[in-house]
Amino acid sequence: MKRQKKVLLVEDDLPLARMYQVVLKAANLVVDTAMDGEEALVKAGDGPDLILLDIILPKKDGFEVLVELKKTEGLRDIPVVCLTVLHQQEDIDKCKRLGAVDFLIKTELTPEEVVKRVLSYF
Amino acid sequence: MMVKMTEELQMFKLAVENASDHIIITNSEGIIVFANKAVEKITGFTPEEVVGKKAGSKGLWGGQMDGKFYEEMWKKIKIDKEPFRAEIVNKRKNGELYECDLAITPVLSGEDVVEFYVGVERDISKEKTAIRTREALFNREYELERKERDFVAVASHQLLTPLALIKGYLSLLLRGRITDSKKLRYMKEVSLGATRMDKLIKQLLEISRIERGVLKMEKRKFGLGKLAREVARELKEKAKRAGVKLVIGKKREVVVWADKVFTREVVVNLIDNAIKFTPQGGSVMIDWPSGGQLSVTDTGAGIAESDQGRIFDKFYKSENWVKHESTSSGLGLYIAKSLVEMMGGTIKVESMPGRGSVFSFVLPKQKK
Repeated sequence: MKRQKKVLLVEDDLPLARMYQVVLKAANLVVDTAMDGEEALVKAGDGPDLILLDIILPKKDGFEVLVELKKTEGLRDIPVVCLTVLHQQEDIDKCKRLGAVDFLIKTELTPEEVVKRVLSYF
Repeated sequence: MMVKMTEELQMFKLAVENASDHIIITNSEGIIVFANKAVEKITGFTPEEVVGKKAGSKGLWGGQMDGKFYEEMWKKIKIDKEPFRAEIVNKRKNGELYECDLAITPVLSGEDVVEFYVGVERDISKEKTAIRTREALFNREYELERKERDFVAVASHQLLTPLALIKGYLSLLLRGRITDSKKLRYMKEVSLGATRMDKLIKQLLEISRIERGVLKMEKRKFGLGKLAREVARELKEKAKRAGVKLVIGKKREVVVWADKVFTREVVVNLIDNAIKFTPQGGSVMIDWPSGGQLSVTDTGAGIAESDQGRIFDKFYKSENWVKHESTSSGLGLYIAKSLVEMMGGTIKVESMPGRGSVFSFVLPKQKK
């Protein structure tokens, strides 16, 4: 049987985290969650297949998390998809420059479209 | 011919004596031999007081610049024999400092020897003060503009988050093919998201009014205890649902001079927060001991020391806040502090992580 893919959802807003969890689980994905940048880095060590990363986060923001991930052996190859309400081109460019594979804007994509984009990386 | 020269000399003398700039003439050693009327007007020293003294000495208006400055000045006019010009600070006879534009010209004889010096000073204190005021005003406006931009950026982010939630759940609802119980749950989430946006917009508008200074306060005398009891009664049900016991202070009264509506808003905010952060079985105590003070004590998780100093900052969310109440805007306590201060009071927090927190404010007891 094919192994279920595991997604680490980094989101500090509980209701939003709940919403994305529902749709990700419905797509047969295993979901782990982190509520701040530091927790995200710890849980990244558990070997998720992809990280869905919010940018405005407590403790360490998404940009800092990306930098840490990309310079850490064993974590740098995990694909990171930024999922945020930020929508300025400079934020998009920064995420990509720091190594994110995709940049999704929460208000512009339905939760199911987000899932589709996530699945496209498996 | 002779008559004409004498007339011209008389004219020059009058011009120098009555010029609006401070003009002195010194010998080659810098000893003042002439001072015009403006010297007294600008420095306060009479011609009798200055003639015979060394120009720019500490006993007169000089000596306010550092030693290196005077060294360079003397080198320029005495050794290089060239004019010297600088903006400097001097001191009037009454001790007041003033800024002036100084120009010293060495007047040379045919043998290239300094015969005398002419020093002209123009008092530029007023112009300098005006420039500094303009600069300060410009910097202040720039700072305000920057704060405004930051505020708009954070506020937009805060508004977009519940909007993303509402749009997300609506898209799931519109897709159909969901059970009634899920439908109900999603609709509840939409409703909560809308409530959150509503609250946030109201808070942002209130902050905008506070910061623009257009929030009107109607201060009068009222009983803080009575108000606290009313608020506690309103929140009793909420506390009960959360399994938190509300303990209300004894029936005495403390009269304060403040705006009742805004005081109520602060009390609601503090008690509401306390209920949110107190675990089931815990308690929240509201008391108004004396001196225009009201305190709300909870048996919640407390606030980390690192967060205590910033808990009243705009958009600041403490660590516990994120864990317990991730939908908070981080504006409630900022508004509470602003309101209390606008009423002439103070607000503070004391907390022991793991033991609980005490939020308290003090309002004036009478009109100041």
